[in-house]
Amino acid sequence: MDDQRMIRSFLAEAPPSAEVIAEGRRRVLAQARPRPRPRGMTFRLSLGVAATAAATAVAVALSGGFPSARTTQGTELTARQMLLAAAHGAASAPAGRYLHSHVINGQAYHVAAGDYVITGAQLEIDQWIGRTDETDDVFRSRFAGAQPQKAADRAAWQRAGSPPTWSVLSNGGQIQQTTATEPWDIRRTTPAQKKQATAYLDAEAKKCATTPQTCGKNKMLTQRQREALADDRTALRRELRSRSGEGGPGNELTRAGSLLAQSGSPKLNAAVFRVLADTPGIRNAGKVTDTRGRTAIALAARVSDERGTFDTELLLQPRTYRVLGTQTVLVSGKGAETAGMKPGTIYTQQLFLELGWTDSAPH
Amino acid sequence: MKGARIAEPAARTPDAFAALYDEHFPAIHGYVASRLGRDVADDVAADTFLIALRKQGRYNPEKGAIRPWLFGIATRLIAQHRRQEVRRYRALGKLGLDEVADSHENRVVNWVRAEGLQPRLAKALAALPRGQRDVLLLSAVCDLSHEEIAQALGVSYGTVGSRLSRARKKVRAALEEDDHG
Repeated sequence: MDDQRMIRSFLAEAPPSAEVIAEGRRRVLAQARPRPRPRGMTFRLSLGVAATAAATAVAVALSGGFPSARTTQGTELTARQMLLAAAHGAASAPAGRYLHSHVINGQAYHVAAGDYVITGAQLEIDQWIGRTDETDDVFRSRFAGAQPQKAADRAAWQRAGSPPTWSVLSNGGQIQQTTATEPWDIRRTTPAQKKQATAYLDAEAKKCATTPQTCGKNKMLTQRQREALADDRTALRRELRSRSGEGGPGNELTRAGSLLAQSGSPKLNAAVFRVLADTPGIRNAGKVTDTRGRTAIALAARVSDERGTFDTELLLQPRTYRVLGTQTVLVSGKGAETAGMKPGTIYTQQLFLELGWTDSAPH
Repeated sequence: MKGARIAEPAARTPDAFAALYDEHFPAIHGYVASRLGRDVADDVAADTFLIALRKQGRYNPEKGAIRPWLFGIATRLIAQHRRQEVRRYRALGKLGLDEVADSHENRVVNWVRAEGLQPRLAKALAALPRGQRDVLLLSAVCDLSHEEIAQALGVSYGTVGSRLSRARKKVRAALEEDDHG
């Protein structure tokens, strides 16, 4: 046996769990706050921007794709009609002083002892982003407690003696999940810090425009760049597609969900829905219930990866077509991570508990 | 080659930094976990990105790609945990097959073939001078090229080659020793 390979297998460890990745990201991005620097330009960013980046990144990390075993109820609008209705609603949504976004992520884990599924890794991010640099941003986050996913899971959990903690398989290793919810970690960004961040980002954008080698290839967009997409349907489509890699319409839905969760204007959000309306492969999967018990209409696209086949769903509120989040639902599992899970299990989720403009000051 | 497409300037915005984190964190974590174990790796891998974030202004794209730069930061952090590293090799050398199977299924496959050699391998790794061990593990564990290792450690290409061949020679010698050797 080759000595290098032997060393590699000798030292190999299971990859980091989704929680470790999310926790590390949270730590790193929390440090990326504006801070005076002795000389030259430092890396500055508003907490709001960091938080959004974190939320988006988490969403992307946790979302594979998902399938649904449910059949389409043909009595309702087509996906396209619904998306156009959502676009109309979004365009007329009022703007306020703050964008309040309260997002909870989650992932399903199978508990072998008792054979049921819990929703864990529920990183919850609640933030108020001032529309202008004159207003504070408030950002708070925590891991919410894990819980059995559906009624049958709850019954199985109770039969197993209602254990308050679980050891479950995640990315090849065992991780702990608990029913206990963490206290909030609260951070604020002052107007002065936001101005620094804006000035810094503007300078970077200018530098990138004149000296292209200073721009990153895979760079995520600033708020200003995102807003510019509202007037450029082609660029917006390219943005949704290029970010979605090879995953097709399913990943495009997830990417759209992440974009909608950021501090976009009503106009940008409307444009996102219009682009989705023109994307082939998205179907109306009918009414579903999310893990918070909310009824939603799911627009779905099927995706497969090494963990199985899933339906990626964009969840819209019935009648108003406000976006409630994205989730991936198991169609058929493959490999250890989805072993023991039944079709219909909500494998990952990014739910928007609150998403909209408000004039009320952050608590 | 995973590293090839990363030859781009450092991420200059928060969003871009998040993207950079997502792309490289698992590989950095894997490297640190190989040398210090998984628990310590959680912190050290995150610290690697905190340092990268602070040092962004000093990152020079002309001196190499982001990936080796990050591995270089991680390697310097690992150097601060020398005792932990040696402890880990010693523990791995004593692990029975069952324990290995428990912790990571994949390891068993390779492991059985190498049955009985783990104490020697552990001892050989622990005994390597740090410079040689850095080069050997960046190559064996992370699959970095000579060029990337040179960038990561800030040494010449030739130095990488000579350290690597010396390190491999010692490891092979340790593995080939007979039981009483």
